[in-house]
Amino acid sequence: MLDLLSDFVTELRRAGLPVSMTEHLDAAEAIGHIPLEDRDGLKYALAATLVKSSSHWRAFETAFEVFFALRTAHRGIEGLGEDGDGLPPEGDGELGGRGRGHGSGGGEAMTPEELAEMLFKSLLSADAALMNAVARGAVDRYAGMEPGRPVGGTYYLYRTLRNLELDAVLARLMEQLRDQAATGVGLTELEERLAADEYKARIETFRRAVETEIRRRLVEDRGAEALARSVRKPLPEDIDVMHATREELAELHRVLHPLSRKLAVRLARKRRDGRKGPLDFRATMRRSLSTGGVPIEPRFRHPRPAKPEIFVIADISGSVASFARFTLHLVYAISSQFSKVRSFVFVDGIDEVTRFFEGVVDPADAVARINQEADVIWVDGHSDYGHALTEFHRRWGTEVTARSSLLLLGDARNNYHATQTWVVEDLRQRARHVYWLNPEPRHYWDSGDSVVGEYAAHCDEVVEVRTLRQLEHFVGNLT
Amino acid sequence: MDRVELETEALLLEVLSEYQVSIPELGTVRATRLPMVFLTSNNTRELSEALKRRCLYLHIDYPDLDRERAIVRARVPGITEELADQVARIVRSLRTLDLRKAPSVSETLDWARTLVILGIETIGAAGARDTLHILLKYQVDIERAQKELLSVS
Repeated sequence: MLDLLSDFVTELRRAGLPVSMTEHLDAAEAIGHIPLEDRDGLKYALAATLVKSSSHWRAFETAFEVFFALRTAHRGIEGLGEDGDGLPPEGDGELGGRGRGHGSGGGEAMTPEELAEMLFKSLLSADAALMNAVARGAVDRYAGMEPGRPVGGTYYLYRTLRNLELDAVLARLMEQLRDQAATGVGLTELEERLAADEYKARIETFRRAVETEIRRRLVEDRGAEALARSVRKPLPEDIDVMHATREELAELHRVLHPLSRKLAVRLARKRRDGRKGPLDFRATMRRSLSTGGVPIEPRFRHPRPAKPEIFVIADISGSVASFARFTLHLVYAISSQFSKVRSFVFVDGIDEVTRFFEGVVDPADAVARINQEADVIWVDGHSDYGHALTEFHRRWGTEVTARSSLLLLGDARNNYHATQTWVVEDLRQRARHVYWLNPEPRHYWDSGDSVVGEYAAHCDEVVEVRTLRQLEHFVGNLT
Repeated sequence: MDRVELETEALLLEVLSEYQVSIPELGTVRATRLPMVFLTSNNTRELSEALKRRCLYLHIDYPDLDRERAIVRARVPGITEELADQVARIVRSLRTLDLRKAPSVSETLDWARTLVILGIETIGAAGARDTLHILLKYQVDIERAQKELLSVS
C-alpha cells in the first residue's frame, strides 16, 4: 500500500501538483486510519492531505480514478434484481433475464434498441445500479476498444456516447413528461425547465459512469502508470493561454480572480514597506525633550503611499486572440483592485478602453463591447506596433508620469512594419517602469516578423507569460 | 482567513506546526493540550503554500440535490416536503446558469423561510418572480434567471 501511495504521489507531482514530503507523510498516516475497503473514505483522506487547492481537484480525481480504479471482477449484472429495488416492478424480471445474457455473452446479446431502452429506463428512474450496468453494456458494444493502444480513452468515450445519442434520449424523456402532464393540468415553463435540468444531471451521472468504465478497462489493459501518463492534463495555472480550449479558458477565468487579489495584496504590501520618508522635524524635536534637547533619535515621516498608475496597452489582433481575451479579463481583474488603471487596446490603431470597464459587472460584457466599439483599426487590421505606439505617444504620451507603470501585452509580430522603438524609449524615460509581457514561448521570439528583441532593449523587462503561473511569478518579482 | 493580512499567515505557521507562541520578552508558551484549529476561507484569495502545507484541506462545494433538500428540511421549520424539494431543484437549476453570484446555501434557507412565512405552498412563476431577489443579489442575475427559468423578459 505504501508503494502504491508513493507511486500515486509521484504521479500527482508529475501532473504538476505541489505535494511536499510532509504531505506525503500525512497521507501515509491518514490511510492507516481508513478501512481500505472504504474507497470514498480513502479518496477524501488522500484529497484532504495531498490536495490543497480546489483548482487541483480535477487533476487529483483523474489520477485517483486511474490508480485506485475498481479492479474487482465485473460486478455481476445478475445482482441487479436485488440491487434495483427502486425499479418499476414491470422492468424487474425482464432486466434480470437480459442481465444474465450480458454476463455470459459480453453484451453482444443486447441489441442497440434494447440497450437504448434500458438507458431510457435507468434515466427515468435515476437508478444508479442500472445506469452502471448500461454503461458497461454500452462500452462493450460501442467503444470498440483495442488493447495496447496508448490512448487516454477520450475517443472511446466519444464513440460510445455518440452511438447512444444522449440528446435524443433527453428529448424522449421530456416528451414522455409532457405526455403525462397533458392528461392533467399541463406543465408550466418553470416545471419543464426543472425537469430538464434533473434529466440533464442524470445524463451527466451516466456519462461519468461510462467514463469510469472505460478508464477501468484501460487500467486493466495497460496498468495505472501508463494510463496516468495519457490522461494527464495541465493544471489551470499551467494552461497555455494561446492554445487554451474554451473549457480551459473558463477554468482560467475562475482561478484568475483569487489570483488577482493575491497579486494586489502583494503589490500593496510592497508599496507600504518601501523606504522611509523624509525627516520629521517636529517629531524629532518632541522626542529630543527626554534627552535634554539633543536629537539623539531622529524620527522620519512615513512616506506618502504613492498611488501607482497602471497603463495597460494590449494587442488584440487575431494572432493573439485568445491571449487578448485573457488579458482583457486580467485587466478587468486588476482594475477592480487598483483605482488608477488605464487600459488601451490596439491592432494598428489604438483606442482607450478604460471606460468600458467602469461599473461593469460582467467582464464578458466589457470584452464584447471592446470588440465592437473600440476604434483600433487604422488601415488593414493587421497589427502594426510602430504606428499604434506612435499614436499612443502622440495622444496620451504626456499623461505618462514618473508614477506610472506601463504594461505592454503582445507578441510583437509587426508584419514587417517599422518598429518605432524610440517611442518605447521615450516612454521609459517618463514612466517608472515599462514591462512587456509576451505570450509566445521564448524560443519563438525574434523569429519571422517578431521584433520583440528590438523593443526589449528599451523595456525594463520582457517576460514570457503563457500561463497563470508565469504571470504570478512575474508580479511576485515586481518591485 | 480571507480578511487576514499576509503577515498574520506567517505568524500562524509557528502556532500551527509547533503549537506554541514565541513572545520576545517572555519566551515561548506551549499549548498544554493540542488544540483543533479550523481555518475557513471563502477562496477570495489564495492562501500561502506554507500555511496550506500545515493543514488538511477540504473544499466544500455546493451540496447535491438530496443533501440540499435535507438541509432545507432540517433548518426551516414547518416546510413541506414538496416545497423543500422544489426549492432545492430550482436552486440547482439556478446554479447551472452563468450567474455573477450563484445562490449559496444560506440564501437558499432564507428563501425557503420567506416562502414558508408568505404561506406559498408550491412555487409558481409569479411566486418565484416576486421572491427571487432573496436568492439573487445582482439585478443582472435576477433578470437572467427570470428570462431563463420563467420566460419573463
